[in-house]
Amino acid sequence: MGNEDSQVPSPLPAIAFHILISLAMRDRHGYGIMQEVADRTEGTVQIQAGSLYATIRRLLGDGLIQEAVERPDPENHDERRRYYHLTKQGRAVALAEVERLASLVRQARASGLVLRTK
Amino acid sequence: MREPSLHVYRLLLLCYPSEFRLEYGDEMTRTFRQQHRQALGARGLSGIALPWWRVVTDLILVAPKERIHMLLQDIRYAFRTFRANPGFALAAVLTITLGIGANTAIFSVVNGILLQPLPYPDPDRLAMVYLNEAERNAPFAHMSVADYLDWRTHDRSFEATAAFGAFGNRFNLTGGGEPEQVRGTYATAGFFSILGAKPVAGRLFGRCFFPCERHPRLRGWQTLSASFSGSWIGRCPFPRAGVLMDC
Repeated sequence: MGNEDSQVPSPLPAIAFHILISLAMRDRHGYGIMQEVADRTEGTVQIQAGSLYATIRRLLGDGLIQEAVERPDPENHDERRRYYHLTKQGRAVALAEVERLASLVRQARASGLVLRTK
Repeated sequence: MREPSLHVYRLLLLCYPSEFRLEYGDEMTRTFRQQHRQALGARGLSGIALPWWRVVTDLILVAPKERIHMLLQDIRYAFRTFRANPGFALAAVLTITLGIGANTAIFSVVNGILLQPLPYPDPDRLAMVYLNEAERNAPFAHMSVADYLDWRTHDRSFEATAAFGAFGNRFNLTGGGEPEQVRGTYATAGFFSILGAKPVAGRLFGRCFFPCERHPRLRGWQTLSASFSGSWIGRCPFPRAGVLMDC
């Protein structure tokens, strides 16, 4: 990562990473992010509204996400909802986290920590 | 959804800092409404316990952190402003210092006069009565001895009454060495018993009426403060003096 990650704590908090992953696919509003995370993790991760918006506020402050101007779902959108968009910096930070986790997995495998396939 | 749940949720949102609530409160409420509807539709009333549990635990974890975050943000902003403008910082510090000082002084007076009870037994049963001479526009006029006696005779409201000189007098003290001018006042016989004062030495007033020094039957009954009598030990001119602890 370049100088972008100097302001971002590493490792990225789990909720922040989940939000970045969710927005990597497309722009979403807060409730859409919560639903997507719950679906993707098969219900094992349930982000609550307080944690979600507190993290969104920090990600906005760090410039990792921004409010989306365009509505991704014009037919079904609620005017009052705010949609969030992953910025370039946010994508770079998410990729760095992916790389960090992948590196950790590689190290674990090299140490003999290998999951047994059924 | 049931409106009471929404009202309770909005009340819980008050735990978050106001800036956070203004920014995200509406969205959080809409999100909660949708979650609540889903849970209610899927499992009925029994299904809403889990979402509520999650809401409350989330609130307990996040709200204090957000408050601390906002506080630190404000402190950082204040220090940045102070550093950029030291003159303003000095003026702000001086203003706050003066404000705190003035408040402390006013509170000390209010606390001593209005809030703290008088240092006597049953202070709520004590009352100070003044003579109001409306025609002279003198609401706290002096009461003559005759007026007091008259008033005491007809009084049905108080358990006991006493009179004293509201303004301190100065007396010449002689007979114990070097003459000395001391501060004191006149008071009637019931004065100390009404206040519940007990002498640490000797006895207080006898059956006398003021002014002690001016009445031949009453001469000699005096009450001294402890510090005063201490300085006069061994040369006290009052054979029948009572000593009270200083306040």
